[in-house]
Amino acid sequence: MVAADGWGFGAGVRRALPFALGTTAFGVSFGLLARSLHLGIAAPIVMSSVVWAGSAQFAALGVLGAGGAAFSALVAGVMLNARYMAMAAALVPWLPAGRLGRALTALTIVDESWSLAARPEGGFDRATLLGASSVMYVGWVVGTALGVLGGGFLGDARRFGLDAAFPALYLAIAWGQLTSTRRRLLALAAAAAVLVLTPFVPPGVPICAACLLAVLGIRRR
Amino acid sequence: MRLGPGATIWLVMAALALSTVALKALPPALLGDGQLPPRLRGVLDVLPPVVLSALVTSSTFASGSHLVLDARAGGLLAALLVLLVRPSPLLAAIAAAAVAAGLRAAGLAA
Repeated sequence: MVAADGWGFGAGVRRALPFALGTTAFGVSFGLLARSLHLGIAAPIVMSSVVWAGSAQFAALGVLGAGGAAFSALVAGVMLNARYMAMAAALVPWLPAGRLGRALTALTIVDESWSLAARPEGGFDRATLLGASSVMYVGWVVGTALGVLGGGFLGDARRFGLDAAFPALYLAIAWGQLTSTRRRLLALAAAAAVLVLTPFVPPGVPICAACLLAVLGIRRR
Repeated sequence: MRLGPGATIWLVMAALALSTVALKALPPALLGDGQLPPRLRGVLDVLPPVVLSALVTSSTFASGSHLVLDARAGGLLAALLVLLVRPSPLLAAIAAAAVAAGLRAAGLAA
């Protein structure tokens, strides 16, 4: 189990703190990437504030940096973000009624907060999501600013193994989610699908394909 | 029309922001106050472990469209061992970062 010291906004904030450290470091490396592409100071910080989707931003700048067109950069980002649609749909039944409120809550979804708000027995806790999301947002924007403004002092985040912290954190949340044989089998199948597909399709697609596995897994029941 | 790099980044940013908002807000906007069909709900209920497992795998073994075995894999193994003993995300992350950094410092892995 994840150290589940209850649910609610405060619990979401507390449980998101280790992840926020990770996302801050990730933000620093995004700021450094933007700096290396000479995108100025304002653009990367505004981008992190309004887009707030780390991997999609990385992918988009990666395409631009490699000389790709604006449209290709957008497609790369959208493919990485496509999973949010399924994640938002999973959240909806657990939100109070009201189209606008539900949509606004869904806007705060990031991988970490969505995962932390997922109850091991199924369902989501809205207050936990909002608490975790707010910490993640601050971490991401502050990290980006640090990277753009003074990243040179921090050096390469890889040297400190920070890129290895993310898989560990995801694994730690997954730990508490493997509550049934079906969930464990589907998780294994998802990992296998990502390994098989990664060399053949653009980044982001393997994760979406893994989501489709959930559909097949239920059908087989 | 050719855009300079300065204009391109703002254009990509605006499009990316709009598409992210659309992807996240579309399901709740379309569903309104309605409930999902039970079958779809069953599918979405098993989504968390599936997404997490995919994220673990891609953030450990993928580098763009290449599969790689680098220091992150050592870090993940360390995290797994920590989690078997104590289910603490923070300890798992610290162990993973320390092992990955150690492997790189020792020149044993990229």
